[in-house]
Amino acid sequence: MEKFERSIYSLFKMGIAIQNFNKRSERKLGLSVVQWCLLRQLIDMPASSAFSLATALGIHPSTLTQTLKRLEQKGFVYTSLDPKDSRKKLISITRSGKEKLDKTSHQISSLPMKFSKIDIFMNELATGLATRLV
Amino acid sequence: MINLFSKEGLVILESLSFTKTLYAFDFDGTLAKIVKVPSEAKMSQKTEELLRELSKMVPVAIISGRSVRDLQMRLNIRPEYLIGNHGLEGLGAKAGTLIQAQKVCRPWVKFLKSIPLESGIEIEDKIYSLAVHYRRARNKTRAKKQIKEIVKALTPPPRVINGKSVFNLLPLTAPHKGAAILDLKKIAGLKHVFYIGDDDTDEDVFSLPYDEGQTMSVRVGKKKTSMARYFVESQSDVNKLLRLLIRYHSRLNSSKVRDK
Repeated sequence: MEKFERSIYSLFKMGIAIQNFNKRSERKLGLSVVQWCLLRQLIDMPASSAFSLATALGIHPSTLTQTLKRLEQKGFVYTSLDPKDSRKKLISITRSGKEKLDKTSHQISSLPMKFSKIDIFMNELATGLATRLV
Repeated sequence: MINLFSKEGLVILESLSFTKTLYAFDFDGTLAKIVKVPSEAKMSQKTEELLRELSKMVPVAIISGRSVRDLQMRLNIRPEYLIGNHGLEGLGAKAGTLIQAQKVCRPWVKFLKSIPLESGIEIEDKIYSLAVHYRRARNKTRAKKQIKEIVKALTPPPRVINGKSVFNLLPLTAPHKGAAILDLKKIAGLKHVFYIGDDDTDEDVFSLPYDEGQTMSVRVGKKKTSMARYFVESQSDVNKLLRLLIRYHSRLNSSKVRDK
């Protein structure tokens, strides 16, 4: 396998490792990494629209919908209509969302994640990319 | 407009306590009740106690059309920021700007004092701006009409902001409360502002962008045409609001202690 092909393969494996970590985090702590990031962003952006939130996170608004739904079901975010524009929804973090975020921030670092493996994938990826650039 | 004390209003209000927020208040009609004689306006003892407690926890600003000196005389507390003359004073405006404003206002005062006015019309000289009150006029419609005519004759023409039984006259170049809030945000290094006011002079703040929670604007009294997104029924609700803010921030502080 060529170096570049190996790096693409590493990228794929890294994606899987991150997905697994995300699932494990939600199962064990009740909050996935994606959900954690969204709640963390909401702290700095109280009552923001889904569009602004997605832009701040660097993702497409439609990607956010499912995560928001799950967080709303858990009672961690609250969605209300913009009083001046009923087409727009405002998303806010709730008290229990804030408490969950604080609690999880302490716990998330103790979750076992095969960082060493990810490091290997990243090294392979970087080397592969470097060969393409030269 | 949505009632601030509705579920959605309260969730957003509480979420402001999770981040660094500046809490800004208008004075007349918000912190203090509107009174017949403007010079007698003052905060109730309870409001003062609550505001003192809140200002120990978070950055608090009072933004008023009154001069800073006038405000200082009415307050037994020293909030972190005291902004007067609709934003001209208290934000470190250059001396030249203030002198210029004074130069513009002086002839207006002179002119207004030189003509016979309807009984009950009072001129409040705030040095850098002026207010023409007609709350005590017997015939308010006539008084209002006369003030409007006089204002038209003033040179240079002032920027007029209508208030509750008052016309605020400011130099055209003077900032408004909205600009003052934006400056204050920069000075305080804060991203979010909560602002409550009751008057047309507060509309400049109410119309600031809201997305990303930059400014949560609340009006004392519901008004369809207002740009404020939330409202409280009356001035007497301000104490309830202050109590809520104190509770939110105390909870936050106690959970921080618990986490340690």
